[in-house]
Amino acid sequence: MNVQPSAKSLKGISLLLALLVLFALIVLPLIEIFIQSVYREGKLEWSAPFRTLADSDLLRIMGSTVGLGLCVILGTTLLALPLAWIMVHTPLGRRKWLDIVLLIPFMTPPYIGSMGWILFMQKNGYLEQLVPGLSRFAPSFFSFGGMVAIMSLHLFPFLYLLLRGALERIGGSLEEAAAVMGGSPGYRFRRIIVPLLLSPYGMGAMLIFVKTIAEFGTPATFGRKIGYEVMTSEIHRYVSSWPIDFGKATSLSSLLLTACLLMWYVQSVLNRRFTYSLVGGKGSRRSSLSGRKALPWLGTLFTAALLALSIGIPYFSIIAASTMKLRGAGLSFHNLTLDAYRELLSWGTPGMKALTSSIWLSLAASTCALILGTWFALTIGRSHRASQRTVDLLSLLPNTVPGIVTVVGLILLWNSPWMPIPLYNTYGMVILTYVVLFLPYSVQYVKSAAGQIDPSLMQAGRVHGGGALYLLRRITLPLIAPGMLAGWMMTFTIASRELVGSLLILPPSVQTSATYIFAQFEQGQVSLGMAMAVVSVGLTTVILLMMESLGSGNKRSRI
Amino acid sequence: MDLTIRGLSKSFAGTTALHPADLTIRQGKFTTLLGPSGCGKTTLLRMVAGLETPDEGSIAIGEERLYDRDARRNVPAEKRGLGMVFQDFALWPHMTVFENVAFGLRTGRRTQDLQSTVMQALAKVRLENMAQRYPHQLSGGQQQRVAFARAVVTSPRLVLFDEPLSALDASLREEMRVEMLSLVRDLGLTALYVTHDQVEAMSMSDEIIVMQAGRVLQTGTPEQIYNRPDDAFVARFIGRSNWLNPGEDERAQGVLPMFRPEHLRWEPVNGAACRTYDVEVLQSSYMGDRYEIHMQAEGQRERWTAYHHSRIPSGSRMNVHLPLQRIHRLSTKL
Repeated sequence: MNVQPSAKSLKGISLLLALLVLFALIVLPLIEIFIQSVYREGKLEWSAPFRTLADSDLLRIMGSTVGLGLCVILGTTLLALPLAWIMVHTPLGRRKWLDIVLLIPFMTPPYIGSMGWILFMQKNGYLEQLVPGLSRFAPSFFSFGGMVAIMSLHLFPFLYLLLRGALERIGGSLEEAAAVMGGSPGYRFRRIIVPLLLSPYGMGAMLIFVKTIAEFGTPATFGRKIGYEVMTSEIHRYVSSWPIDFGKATSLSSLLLTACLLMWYVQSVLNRRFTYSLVGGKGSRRSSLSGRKALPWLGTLFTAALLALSIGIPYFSIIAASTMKLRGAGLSFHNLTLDAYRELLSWGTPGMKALTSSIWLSLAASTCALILGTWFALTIGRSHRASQRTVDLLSLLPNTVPGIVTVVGLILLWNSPWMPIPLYNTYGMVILTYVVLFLPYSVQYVKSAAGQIDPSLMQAGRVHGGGALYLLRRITLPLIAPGMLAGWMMTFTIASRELVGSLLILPPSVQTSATYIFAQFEQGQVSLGMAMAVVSVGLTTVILLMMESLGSGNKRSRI
Repeated sequence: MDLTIRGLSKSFAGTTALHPADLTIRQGKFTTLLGPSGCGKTTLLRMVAGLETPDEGSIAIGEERLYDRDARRNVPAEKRGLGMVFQDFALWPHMTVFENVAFGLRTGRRTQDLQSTVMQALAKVRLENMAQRYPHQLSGGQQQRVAFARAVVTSPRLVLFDEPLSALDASLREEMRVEMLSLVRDLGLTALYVTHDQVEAMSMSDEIIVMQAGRVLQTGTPEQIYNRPDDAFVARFIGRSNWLNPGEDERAQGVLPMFRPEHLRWEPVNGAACRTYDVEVLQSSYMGDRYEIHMQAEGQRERWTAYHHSRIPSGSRMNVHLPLQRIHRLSTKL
């Protein structure tokens, strides 16, 4: 009889504890940023951040960040909208492997993609070697337009998935009803498809904007090369290179943080207000209405060109650069060698050290994130109570906040003079940073797995005499195990290639694969750096493919 | 102007959804396509609507060819001038009820008395006050009525119904069935209705087309289908059926004798030749208005069901009587 109240109070304690941990891990660093931005030399100055921002240079940087965001929205739209239409309305959409291939650009770390483009377009690069006639145009790629192109080619899958989902749901009976009621194709497009597509598109565009202004990889590589500064790269400059200026860094961080949170908030409000539920009973039926008049070959051509640009060129350049004996000798079979891989993968070399530290740091981080994430996800439950919703919101916060802002906050907090725990400049700090950055992934995976467990399964367990812990062990954990595994693998994958956290947090003289690639590309042996890129992308691709096959093999029917 | 379907067939990726079918849907009648899910009835309806392209055959209303494979003619859905009520209603979420209903009038450029025509249609389904609402602000039954008003506002020559009641819960379905039928009758519409629910089909239709596995099994009035099924599947799918062991000559002729539960009598019938069977009662189930008696007759392979006004204890042995004229013999060869 007294099992019930104690289980309940246990839950309450767990909830409280979860809130405390989340506050310490995630909220406190962000608060620290705001505090630092208004304190100057120990004095509180409310006007300090505004004075910093009024600095004309920072205004210019804000302008260029916003401009980049808007242009990338345009770029991704030009790529994603036709693609979504093609995949919904031509036979091409029935090829399931394309759906996985189209995620590759999104899963490629942006700094690696940018490096691929730089190698391809630079003077004496692969374009010049392959098609000398086009080399006249190559220099013009190193401009704002080129940066927008690279970022659009990286981010378009995100918008594509959103638009495709919406188009598919509209294309079902909603469009058919309009056809039967006498609407011609043009009229249907104008009166049914465009209005219904508008709200998912707006949502996607806003998320693209947030992702663009929070992005660090491309500005740090391509942007630096062409001298295009944005907020993330400026924050990185102010905290990492002389003269270090935390005042400017925190002011910019606060601004970036505010902008992102605001966009997410507006997005979620709009989402709640203006999204029509487009879920229909048999909505997934592929409409045969417009398929007839589509031009399949044009669609295939577009898709092929898009894949060549977003996957072909970057990966070709990276692989080619990693197998090059002499940099100047160009593309030829005589110049082909696997020396870079041999050097990279021999014990004791800096490359191997970087790779192993990358792997064990990510393993440790993903395991910690998994434990915390499972705890939080189970605490959230079905988020009936406000406190549960708060846990949900806080644990997903690092997804909203630009990575560099989170990292700056963590540095400020753990490096502050009053911090009693000496974690800063140790491996523990790196693991903590990864955990904070990637906690949302394990929370989301476990949460969705737990959400699929019908409450009646737990009720059946209770009726048949199972205690709370017994039910957790015998029912909940086995059922969420696939979700936990997926979250763990995802966290490992992303942590192992994380750039900005590693650049700022790693203890002196320690490298991970990401910082190794970055350093070698900047001032070292490009072939070594690119070999590392191939190895780290290959490793994570293998893991993602394993995850995919696990996911399709593990379709235990949940009735 | 009847709807005439000749030799119409369709297959999807190798599986045949509809074997060549010939059908006539008469003007002013309520015709139902009845069959279990996956029998091809929805495919047939969607081909009439123009939402699916047939492989072979032709569809025509009166003299007008909507589809003809041989003449390479295929009128697109928007030019066919039909009305349709979708299973999930398919109301456009970004338009008000008024705009949803007005859609067909606007596309047909019949905007002269738009306001009054739409309001009349809405009045018919008792939703005049809801004209400015959005679909998500309506209940399921109200959405259903909007879908109906939208389909009939243009007075189409044929209205198609794709399992329109299946998205509603049981009590509402009953109510909507009665209401929809009286509206169809009032407006004098020609209706082609798809359902898997035999009660809907029996109670609403002038004519029923029973389909299974892509084939039309039987066409007829509800009474014909119930009393004189042509096919064992039809007999089992519609109503309850009791099967008798076939006799020598029946086996030779290849026919199966059966009867309906309500025809089994507990007393001998005056002036009618009867067969008498010795039965053991297995179970009595109370259905509210009667008891369903499950029984095993001496020497018969199949168990039977009959109706009685009071409970009969399990294990009782008694005699039952079956008037010979109530035995229906259906051919096993088609």
